[in-house]
Amino acid sequence: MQEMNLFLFLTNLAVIALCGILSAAVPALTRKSYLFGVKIPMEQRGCPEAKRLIRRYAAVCALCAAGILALNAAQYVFFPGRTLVAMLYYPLLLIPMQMLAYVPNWRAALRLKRERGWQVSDAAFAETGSAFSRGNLRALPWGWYAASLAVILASVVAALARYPSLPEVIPTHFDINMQPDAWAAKSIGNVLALPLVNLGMLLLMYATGIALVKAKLQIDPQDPALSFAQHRAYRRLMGHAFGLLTFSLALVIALMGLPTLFEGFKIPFWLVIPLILLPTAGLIGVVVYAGQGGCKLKPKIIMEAPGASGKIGFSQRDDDRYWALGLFYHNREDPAILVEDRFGSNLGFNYARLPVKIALGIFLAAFAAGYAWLTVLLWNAEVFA
Amino acid sequence: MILQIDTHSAQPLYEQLRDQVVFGIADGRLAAGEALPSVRRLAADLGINFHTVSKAYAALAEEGYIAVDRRRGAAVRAATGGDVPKFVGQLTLCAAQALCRGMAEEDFIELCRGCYRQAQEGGASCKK
Repeated sequence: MQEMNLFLFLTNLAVIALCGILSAAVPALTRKSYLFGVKIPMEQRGCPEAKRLIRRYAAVCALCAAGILALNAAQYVFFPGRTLVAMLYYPLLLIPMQMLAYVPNWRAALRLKRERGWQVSDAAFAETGSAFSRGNLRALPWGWYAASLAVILASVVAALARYPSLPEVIPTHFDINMQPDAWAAKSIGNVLALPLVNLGMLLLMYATGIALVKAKLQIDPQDPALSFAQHRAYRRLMGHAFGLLTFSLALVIALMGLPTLFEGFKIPFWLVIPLILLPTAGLIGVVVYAGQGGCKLKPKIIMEAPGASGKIGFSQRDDDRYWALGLFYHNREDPAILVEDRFGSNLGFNYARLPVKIALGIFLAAFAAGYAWLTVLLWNAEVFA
Repeated sequence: MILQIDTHSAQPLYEQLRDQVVFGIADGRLAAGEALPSVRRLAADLGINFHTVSKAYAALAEEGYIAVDRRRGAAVRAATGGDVPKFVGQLTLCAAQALCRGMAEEDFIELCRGCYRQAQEGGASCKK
């Protein structure tokens, strides 16, 4: 148990440190046309006031992360038995901390924009070529999906081939030392359960992929042609990162099924750990390298015929009013469900859409209930005493 | 071709969209036979209601700039006369406006020539 706790504690430290660094780096990953969720002219991101806000935010984030690390260390020293609980609590503390660091800067950015009279365009853009369009399913990582499906089919074939020679009672779960600790009666359903889970996971990844390619395109009015090209390059990169994740998950789940089929088979952990770490590193790598929607990429632009670089008439208003706190998008006119975050390099939702409202309600209720239940359960559990 | 609309302009969105397509065809950014995105897709890309896009496409089809096929979607039409009487009407209105401003016939013709060349060479889509 002690080694387990130490391992959990070290993992926790690494997660908090990584999240802390990432949250401090969020402004650097965000598009240059946004300052803490407020739309600003791109060239103003470098002005001294904006830089000061970004520095202040990074400092507060670093300080908060250090505080949480200290809390976590104190917990491990004084209550080592509660380490598993801490796995959930401390990294989640980063979220309110980040909000705390963010909101004053959002206000300051709004004030700065008003005082300086910065004006930005509220133009919307679309490309007539379908390659750029949202919802173009060709942008999905089909190669990776096919490879994952092949792995799942192979695991089904292996299960069916081994089925006649399996004992009447088969082990279905193993402890950390690969000793079986749960058994089930031999049945086709039981040997195919894991491949089914695997297939479900693949479908989930596919659904995520579709949601990603259908997300609202954020086009910078200062150079729409470049912006479209960046989106395309970004989707390609992100497609591979998600594809790698899909394939790795399929492989890991397939590997987990092998000890049930082959007695004495040990899951090679030297293989599983890179299979989990590599796609994670890939995703983070793409986000850091490419920036929000590929805004840091420099792709080749396929130039259009005449008029492509035609200058744009700027409107005097912009769509800040659709963004509560600069974080939450709420626009009834916009059919998009997913939108790019204005702060960070994630995707967010259009909270004006009914499916989003329903999903959010279910999620919040489930999260609150699950969190409360887990807290009661874990703090009372004897295993951690 | 990149279509651009301004959601706060006084000009209705569907008119902006229609004008953009016409300018695109005029300066060659949109070739005859080129497919246009589906109504739903374009509405989603621009973040506007799909009825607005539908209205723009209907106007373009009525004026003969695009052909809408139920199965293949909308595509740019090869140069056609389209609704000539309506076009003549619009031009007559322009001429009347020139007269109201006290513009001489020669000046009006000269202005027309300038506009024609601008539309042909591109850059006409940028509005005042």
